[in-house]
Amino acid sequence: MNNLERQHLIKRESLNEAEYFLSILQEASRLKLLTDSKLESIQLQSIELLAGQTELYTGGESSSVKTETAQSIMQSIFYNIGVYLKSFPDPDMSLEAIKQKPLLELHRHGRKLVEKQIKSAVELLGAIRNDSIVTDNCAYNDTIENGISVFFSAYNADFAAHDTPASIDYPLSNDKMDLAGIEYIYNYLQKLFLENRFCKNFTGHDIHCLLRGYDDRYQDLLINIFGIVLTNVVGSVLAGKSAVQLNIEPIDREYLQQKLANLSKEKLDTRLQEASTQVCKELGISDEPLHEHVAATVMSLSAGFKRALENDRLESMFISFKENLSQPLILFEDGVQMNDELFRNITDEIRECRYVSDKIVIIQREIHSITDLIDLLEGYSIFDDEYAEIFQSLGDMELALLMKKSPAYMTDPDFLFEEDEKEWQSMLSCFFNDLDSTRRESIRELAGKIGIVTS
Amino acid sequence: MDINRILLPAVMMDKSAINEIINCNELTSRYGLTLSQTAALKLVETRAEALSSNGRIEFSGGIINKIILAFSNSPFLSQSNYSTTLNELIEIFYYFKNETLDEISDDELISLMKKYFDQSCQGSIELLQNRELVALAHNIRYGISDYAGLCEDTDEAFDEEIFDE
Repeated sequence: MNNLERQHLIKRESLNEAEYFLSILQEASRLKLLTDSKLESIQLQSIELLAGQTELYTGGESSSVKTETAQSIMQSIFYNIGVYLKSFPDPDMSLEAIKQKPLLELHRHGRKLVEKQIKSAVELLGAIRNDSIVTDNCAYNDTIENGISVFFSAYNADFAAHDTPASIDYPLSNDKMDLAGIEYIYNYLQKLFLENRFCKNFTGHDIHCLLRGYDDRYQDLLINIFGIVLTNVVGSVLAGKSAVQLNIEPIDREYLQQKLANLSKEKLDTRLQEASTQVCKELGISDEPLHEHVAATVMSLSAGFKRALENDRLESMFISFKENLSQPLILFEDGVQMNDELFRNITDEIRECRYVSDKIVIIQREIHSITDLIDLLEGYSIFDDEYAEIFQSLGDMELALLMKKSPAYMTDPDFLFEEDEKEWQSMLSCFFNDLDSTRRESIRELAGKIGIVTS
Repeated sequence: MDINRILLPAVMMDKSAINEIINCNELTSRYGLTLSQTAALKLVETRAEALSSNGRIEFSGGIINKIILAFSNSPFLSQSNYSTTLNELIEIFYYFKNETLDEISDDELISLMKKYFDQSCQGSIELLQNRELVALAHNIRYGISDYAGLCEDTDEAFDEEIFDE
């Protein structure tokens, strides 16, 4: 017997997630499912609701409010109603509720659901905090520790339920950015929880080595850890290894290149689907949401995978582990810093020098500590082009030490500058960019080997 | 979402507002002050314009009646300047609702306006608007506790001369 599927008058996918109530009204009006008199009645009820909520907002002390305030309160009312309407299995039933029930009641139900979601989200955040991935990635840690909790103290479900006052830097895989308010936060936390659960199949050390393989400075990057882990797991499975083996060796990439390079896009997609199913099976993932999230993420790899195969550059997708450097090879102990008065005299002397060559002579004669050198560079004694000449006079070791004392992005021109970057750091960055690549690399390598001993 | 799109029944609100204004005549007539239907309509229009030009929205009956009742016993109001003054007071009221950052209630603002109007301004709308209420708004913005300047001795109260400079 054929399965009969109910046809819906309003399609869920044609509705706006953030303005659900209004988009149902628009669709219903377009499809002539609402009479003019019903629409008028909804408008009047909206005004009554807005008036009531505004009175609550002002505490009855002001009969008027700024237009923006009224607009926000109205959006908040519609948002709460939208949350309730989404609780119905399909939009047609939501429309029926709009027709049958007064707006005030829809709003009350929605407000209760919002409250329930806030509670669930707080609990979920607690669970995530107790069982997060151990990683040095700042965006991940900051978002979980601080960014989301800001939301719960700032969120106003009565008068600004549609706002999302949170500071979320950590990106998810397939994040539903069309949601707003508590719905967005709850959805974000649910996905983060799932992603964490997936990553928990691997040790913190393995994830660290994988992320180091992705980039040495992965700590500062806005990357989705789950996406990187899952990509390698899929690579492992495709290469005929077990899903728990996170590392992809060069030989695995060669094998994948040979085996998959000539497949059509459709066949490659089929392989990815099969791999996704196998990953879930091997890792014992049985719950539907995680299954779906894994499948969606794996399928989003398709285009990049095809491109990497065509260019024979699978290393851009499937990453080999990079272990920690065991110990720094060069231990550096800073020289003795001069006392404040002497330092002041020298900086004054340098500031008064007319030629930069004289400044360089004084620096070479008097400065014997990297800390003093940095203090000097920050001491308004060196100006504009003089920086480059002073850097030019320094040896590779001094430059490597300066690099070590600078933020990690120093020599990477693609990296975004931070707001608090100091002048000498920006000048050093320019100086490095102008250096020939061999010397730049050797200084960078040297910086990586130096361990600064604090006395 | 355009909020003005859904605020359709303005005509309905206007009608009831005019009726409420006319009803005030019963109380104000003892001071020799009454408003005609046309004057009442003008007040409602002034309110609508003031709300719009100050970017505000009002839902309930509003403040026209409150202003009428508060000011009706002022010694500086007579039938000849009654309607004009009320129109000006309505405009000033909404302007200073914004300027005082919605920090004080309708009733308090009206009561302060009345107090300044009768006392320090001696019935001058210009002084009320350009001196007393500007000072009030300044004090509120700077978080001065005696923002209304009721305690003459307080140092932190707004100093007119400093402000003028």
